[in-house]
Formats: sequence, structure tokens, C-alpha cells
Amino acid sequence: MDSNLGGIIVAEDPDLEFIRATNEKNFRISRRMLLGGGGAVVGWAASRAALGQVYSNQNLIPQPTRDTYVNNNTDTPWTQAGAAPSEVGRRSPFVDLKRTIEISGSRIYATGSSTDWSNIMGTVTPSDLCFERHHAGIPLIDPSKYRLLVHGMVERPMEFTLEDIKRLGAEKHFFYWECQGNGEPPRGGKVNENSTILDSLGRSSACEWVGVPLRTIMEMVNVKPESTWALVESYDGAGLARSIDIDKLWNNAYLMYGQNGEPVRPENGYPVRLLLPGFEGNTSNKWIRRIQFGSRMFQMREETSRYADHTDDGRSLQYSVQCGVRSHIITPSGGMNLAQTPPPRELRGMAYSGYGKIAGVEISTDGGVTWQRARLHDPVLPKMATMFTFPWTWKGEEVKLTSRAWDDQGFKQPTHEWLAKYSPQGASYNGIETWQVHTSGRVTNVWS
Amino acid sequence: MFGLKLRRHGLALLFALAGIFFFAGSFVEVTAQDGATPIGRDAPESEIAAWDIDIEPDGTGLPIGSGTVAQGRKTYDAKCTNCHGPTASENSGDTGINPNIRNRYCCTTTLYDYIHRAMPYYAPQSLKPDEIYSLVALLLYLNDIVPENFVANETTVPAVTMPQAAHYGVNPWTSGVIEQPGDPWSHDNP
Repeated sequence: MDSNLGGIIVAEDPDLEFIRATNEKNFRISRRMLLGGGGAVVGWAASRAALGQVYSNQNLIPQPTRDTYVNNNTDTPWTQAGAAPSEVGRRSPFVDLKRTIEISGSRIYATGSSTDWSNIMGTVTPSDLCFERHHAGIPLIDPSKYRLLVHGMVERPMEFTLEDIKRLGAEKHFFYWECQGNGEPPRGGKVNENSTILDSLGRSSACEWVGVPLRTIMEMVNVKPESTWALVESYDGAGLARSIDIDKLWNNAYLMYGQNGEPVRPENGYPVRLLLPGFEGNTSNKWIRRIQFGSRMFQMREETSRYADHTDDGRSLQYSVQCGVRSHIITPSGGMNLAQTPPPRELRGMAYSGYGKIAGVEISTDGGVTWQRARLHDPVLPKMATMFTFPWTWKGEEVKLTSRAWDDQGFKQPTHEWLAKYSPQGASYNGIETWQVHTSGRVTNVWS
Repeated sequence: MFGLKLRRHGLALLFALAGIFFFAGSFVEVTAQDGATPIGRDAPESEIAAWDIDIEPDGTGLPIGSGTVAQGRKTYDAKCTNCHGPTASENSGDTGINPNIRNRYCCTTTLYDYIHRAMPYYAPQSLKPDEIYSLVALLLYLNDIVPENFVANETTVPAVTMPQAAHYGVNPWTSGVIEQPGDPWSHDNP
């Protein structure tokens, strides 16, 4: 398991400053390329005093940030005109939602950001809040130059443009996906009592996706029957490459170009990404560039050194990519303090299975002695996050809150003890999680 | 009169031929959904050759070239120390080289493949084959896998067996559905 992704490092390292500065510079460059001039904004600022002009000039499209509202009076907002419409909407100035940037332990290696599920209403992650993990940053891909090459053990090697892929029969699915580093495993026989839902669930998101089953393309190139593996490779500077077994590619693999009603975001794979539902995220190549069919694993670095399980007894288990069943109580969860706000009237959380549909979630409020069914909120979809709620309120007592889930394929979310003994998979850690509410109202992570 | 007839027959022949071509075309583009404009095209050989960069465990894909441990040190000092440290033993985790390579690689080809595709971080795919071979020689030497006089090339690299190779295997949990043994909800497992 990779422990380097664990820490959020806020070091004052000159290299990190360099990364930040570079990122900002790249952002400026790409914005300039993509947006053109910013004259409208200047024009708006100059004329914002004249309300009539604002509404008569369609070129002046103010963004409804707080200081561009016509009047900042929040006491009687009904007594004046509000902000003008905008080409691109924004959240209320009173809502501040952000991903949490993470920089892994190495000096100049992968960066990523995490989704704070305590901010997510329901199960679909807004595109701009989806977690990211990169191995060499986000490549800038001009869709007119995009090509997907499919070759190797096929009758007809082919290449596809973005338009080609969009013209193939589309499918729409809701899928959750998670990084291998998602989850908060106990270390040294103890759980981190200060861990939050960001630690145990932040490297995952769930979206509505539109794209093409890879099967369609595999039929077009006519994959040879003797092919058992394929190499999937990305456009990024890491040339991220993984071997995927042929059954997964035939039956449960997609080339996705739509995400929550818009083109896939650059950080999530624009213009086309592979999505392997139920498999750890690094196998779902973003910015997919090449698929080479073959008859054995290609033994890329990310499947031999990294993302393999190097066990204590000296084995190296590869392709530990299948995700299990997980559930998390999100409200309340670690780091919150129930004494500081009116206590919640219900527990809310999410459950997911990498094998199929969530069949049930149970809640214990007595340290695992008794269990009661939580309510699952429709739709309950395979390999997608499912929302659950459970009536409960805090009356000032010390209490342990635990959730456990099972799916329609016969898999249960396991205890830490079971995982320690059987450790069936190196994919994201999914042990049963318990939050303890202290009499002070503070919520911490405990073993069980 | 005769000419007109020929012209008529000629046109019919043309239409028949066009129909045959169209029909044949529809077989080739059988998966094109609108039946008119094909989706995708034959991949040009040149594109496959340029894009197919992976090196397979038996050495397939390795270019001609060679490098020594000493040359590897020069290349390393010039292009690698920034992230990996002066002796390649400083770091662990993602940038750790020594002894990670001895314990965490099944194939020498992975080294060549990864250094070529992803290194250096700021300029991937910029190293020449001789430079990459020299780095492979250096890394294998630093991990006590080859002697200092080892010369890496397209033949010698795939011939080296990594110490961990025999301990590699696919995790059985990924292939097919496996029932969870024991009781996943018990706390008495250890």
C-alpha cells in the first residue's frame, strides 16, 4: 500500500513554491488561450453605476460575486433589483466550496485534490469538486488533435477522433470511482483518531457519465480471440499505462466524454477517459490515447512497483484493483463538534460497492451491539454511491456511531480485524468505520 | 441511337458498380451507425510505430543502443538528482530508487519503459536510448543485481532476471467473484 498519499503537507518547501508558481503560470496561459480578452469585465466595472446600462447591454455580463451585486443589502433584498443573468453561473457568494489540495510526500511528484463529502448534497459530485490524482499534471488537449489509437491483437488497427467516438451509440451511467489511496487504514494497530471524512472518503467522487462502451470499439477493430490483456495508455507526461484484463474490457469498460451534463473536465480526463467501474481509479485512464491488445500483462511501472501489494511475507500481488463494499456516516463525522451547532436530527451517509448494488446499510449507536436498518434513497445503482439516512439525535451523551453495508453480490463491508487477517485486496481501504461523539460534542475516529 | 444505348448501358453499369462498391463498403464499415459516413479509420502504420512506445517483458520494443554504469552516473548526475537525490538512496516512496528497484520490480524492461515514457519529470520522452540504457545499467548495479562492468543493451537487459520476479502474481481477488471467507463482520478474526 502506498502511504505517501496519506499526508497533507503544508511545508514551506521552495520546490512546492515552484510548483505553485508554475501551476499559476500555466493557468494564466491556458486562460488567455481559451478565453481571449477580458474587456467585458472592465466595461462592466466602468459602467456598473448606471443600472439601466447594465440591463440594456448584453455584452456586459456581470458575474454575481458578492461585490458585483447591484446592492449588497442582505437585510431587505426584495427592495432592490438583483444581479443580472450570467453566461456561467456561480455558487452563492455565501457558499464556499473547495477541493482540498494534496501534495504527496515526494518533492515534485503527483499532486491531487480531494472531495469533501461533507459538502456534497446527495450523491453526485459537482464536476468542479471531483477529486483528482495526476502522475504528471493535467495535459492540455486540443480536441481537434485528439486521437485514440487501437491496435495490437486486432484484425483491423484503427484510430478514432473525438467526433468518431461521439458518433458511436452513447450510454449514460451514474458511477462512483475512487483512488487506490481512498480510505483510512489503521496503522500500527491503531486508527487515527483525528481523521475526518476527507481522509476516509476524499479520494472518491460520483458523477453522471456519458460515453461509449469499449465493447463497441472492440467489435469494430475485431479483437482476436487469443487476446487476454490490453495496455491502456494516457496522453499525460507520465504516459500512464496499465494492463487490463480482457473480460473487464468487454463487459464493464467505457470511454466517457460527458460528465454531469458537460464535457469531462480536464482534471478528470478531457476529452475522453476510460472508466472501469468498481476498479481502483488509476486503471481508469484519463486522456486515453492508446489501447494495445495483447496476451499477457505488459508489466508497466504502475502495476509492478506502484499499485501492487508488496506483502510482509515478500510477495508482490499485482492487479489488486477490485474495490469492495464501503459505507460512511458523513454527518456527523470526525472533526465536527455537535455542541457548536444545533445537533443533527438524522445521520446521513453514503454506501458503495465495487461489485454491484448496495443491498442494505445498518447503523449501530451502541458500539456494534445492536443494529438497525438505515433508509436507502433511490436510485440505488450498481457501482454508484447510494445515500442513506437514519433518524438519530444527540442528547449530550457519549456515543459510538457505526455503519456497515452489504451488496447484492454477497459481499459485506468488513471489519478492520477481518481485513487484517484476509487482506483480500490492495485497492482502497474499506473497513467498517466508527465515529465517537464525546460529551464535549467533539467527534473522533475510533476502532469500533 | 447506338451511342445512346451504349451510354444508357454504361450508366447502368456505372450504377451497378457503384452499388457493388457501396455494398462492399457497407461491409467494411458495418459498425458505422448511419451507414454513410464511416466512423474511425485504419490506423496509419507510421502512427502505430510512433505511438507504440511500451517495452514488453521479453524485450519487444527495445531500441538498439547501449550504456554502461559509468555513463549512467553522468546521466544521473545531470538529469536525475533534483528529485531522486545525489546517490539514488535518499528517498523512499515515489521517488525512491534504491533499494525499491530490487524489491518492487519483476522485469528489467519496466525500468527502460518507465524512464523513457515518464522521466525526467519535467521533460518526459526526451532521453536518448543510450542514456536510458546507461541509467538502467546504473540502477541495476546500485541494487546489486548486475556487476559494475555490466553493459546494458537490447539483448542484455531483458536477459537479467529481477530478484523479486518469482514472487510476483496476480491478486486472486481481482479475477472472478470470490466469496469472503470467515465472517467479515466479526471482530474475532485475528
